[in-house]
Amino acid sequence: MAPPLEPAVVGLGLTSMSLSAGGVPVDLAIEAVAAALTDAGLTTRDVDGLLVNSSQGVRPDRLGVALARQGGLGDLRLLEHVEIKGATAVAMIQRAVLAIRAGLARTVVCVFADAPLRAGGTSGSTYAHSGGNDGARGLERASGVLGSVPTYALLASRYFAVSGGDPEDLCAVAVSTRAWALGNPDAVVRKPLDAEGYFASRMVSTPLRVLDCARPVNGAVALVVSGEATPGPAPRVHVRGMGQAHPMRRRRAPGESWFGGGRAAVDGALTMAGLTRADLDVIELYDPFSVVTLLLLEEYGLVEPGQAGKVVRSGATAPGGDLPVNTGGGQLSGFYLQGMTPLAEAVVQLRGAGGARQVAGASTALVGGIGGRVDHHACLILDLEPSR
Amino acid sequence: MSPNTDTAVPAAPNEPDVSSAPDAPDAGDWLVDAALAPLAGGSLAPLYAGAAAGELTLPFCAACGLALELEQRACDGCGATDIRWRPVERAGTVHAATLVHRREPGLVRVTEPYPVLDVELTSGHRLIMTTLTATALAPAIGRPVAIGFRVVGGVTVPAAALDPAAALSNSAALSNSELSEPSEPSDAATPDSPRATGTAPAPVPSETEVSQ
Repeated sequence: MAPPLEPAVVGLGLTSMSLSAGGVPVDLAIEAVAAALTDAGLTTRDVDGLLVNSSQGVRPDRLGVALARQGGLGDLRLLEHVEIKGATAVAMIQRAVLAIRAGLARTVVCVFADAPLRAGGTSGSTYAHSGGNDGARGLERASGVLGSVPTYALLASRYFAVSGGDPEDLCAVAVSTRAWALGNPDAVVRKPLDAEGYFASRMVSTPLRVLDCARPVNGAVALVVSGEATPGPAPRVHVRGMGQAHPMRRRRAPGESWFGGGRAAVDGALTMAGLTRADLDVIELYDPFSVVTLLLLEEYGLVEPGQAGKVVRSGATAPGGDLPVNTGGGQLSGFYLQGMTPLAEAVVQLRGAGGARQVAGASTALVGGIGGRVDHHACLILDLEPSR
Repeated sequence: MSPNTDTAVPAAPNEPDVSSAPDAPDAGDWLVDAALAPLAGGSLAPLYAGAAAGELTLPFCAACGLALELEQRACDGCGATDIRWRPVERAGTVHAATLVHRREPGLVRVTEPYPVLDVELTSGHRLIMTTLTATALAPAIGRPVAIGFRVVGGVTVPAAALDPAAALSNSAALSNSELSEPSEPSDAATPDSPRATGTAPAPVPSETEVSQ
């Protein structure tokens, strides 16, 4: 029943990351799956599990379990459309590992694809028109809360009031993340950035400027998780720890509504892995906005409370620093493919395939995925060493 | 591919929906197009019905009285599923604030940045809203506000008055007999804040109250 080897990430496939309209999610997904299987030295005939992560919202072209049929896969023993918003990609890996350990599948492909960039409109316009007119979201939209930037701007406003942070901290995150992107050929923004350039960028919703926001792309990422020996040349990346946290912060006084409660996901994963925060070589976080990097560094206990801005301004998270964070440029400068962005970069780093951005000797990574308004946390401890 | 396909009810630009509140004036909201009118008969129907009558109506647990979220269907305090919507005091303080610079063509009507606030009401609820009238500043966290109303495509929605007197005099959808007093004069928190004076955008954009 048990797999012959500890379940591990054995394949990684990325499409090109496009900043222009074109492509539909299903085709992008098929391309990424093929690349991931090739990377693992496998074919579709080796796959008996498929987990699918689509973008949120009900779009007619969003990815679903029909991918199995459309993508030419054979009979499967595991097929699910996983949905916990942005935390889904990380949760898919958790699901795949548990299924393989339980003997429910041997080799599971996990894929996310999205194509928010469309002809005739910017992604910002697409998001501004999304959300509907019912429920709390409908009331917010009638109040001018269009897209997700104003929402995260409110979060930033509140976070600054509580933590003491300021726009210089946001700037430091954007600059640090961009410095990493310079070494990543898959990053879509690879122009050097300094504080002057940051503060010259367009304000979207105070305190968030356009350079505080993720760069949406049309693209896809797939990973192959297997408990079998596979012929691909890359080292196996083991999942030594996993955790989730879904804090039910309430929209009422007292207590904070916008953040808090995610730390348990990381604590649980580290305990499972038998590791501590000091063992982490690289930190890959879901960073749709610069403020989220600051927030998660604190919330996950990676820096002392109230010190995230100071730590980032010190250069610790940037290339050459002792707390490397979002080493591929993250979602801010790399590409925004939701939870796949930090996940893919962690695999690249542990494989030693990071090229100009490689963190020397990286063997243990934390991957943090969030969903909703930082309502859902799913994390992994990835490691070159198996846990058994 | 239409960018509107995420919406449960696709946006219909430039087609004001006044069917849900035929008696409401529809001179046009200061901020957004009527296409952004909320669904008056949807899950927040009690809020919109109350607002049309000049009341700020919010959900509580009928069993234990806990203030609930707008979309909550069971009490997290006691588990009861009986939810009672009732009027609350139209007063609160700013819990978080932003000045939105991005203005989506066709949906946002103003030419200058506009504020969005998360207001902590004296009832305990937190509610996101914009201001009653155009203002060039996002108010400081902690500043007291009164709650008035805007009308978007015939549907009445809550809005914050930075000058509580403005909420008291706002006639868009108010029943004066139902007004509650604001808790504090707003000048106590931010003496140098400009007042919201009308429906035109304030002439001097400045963001000194909210750091960039």
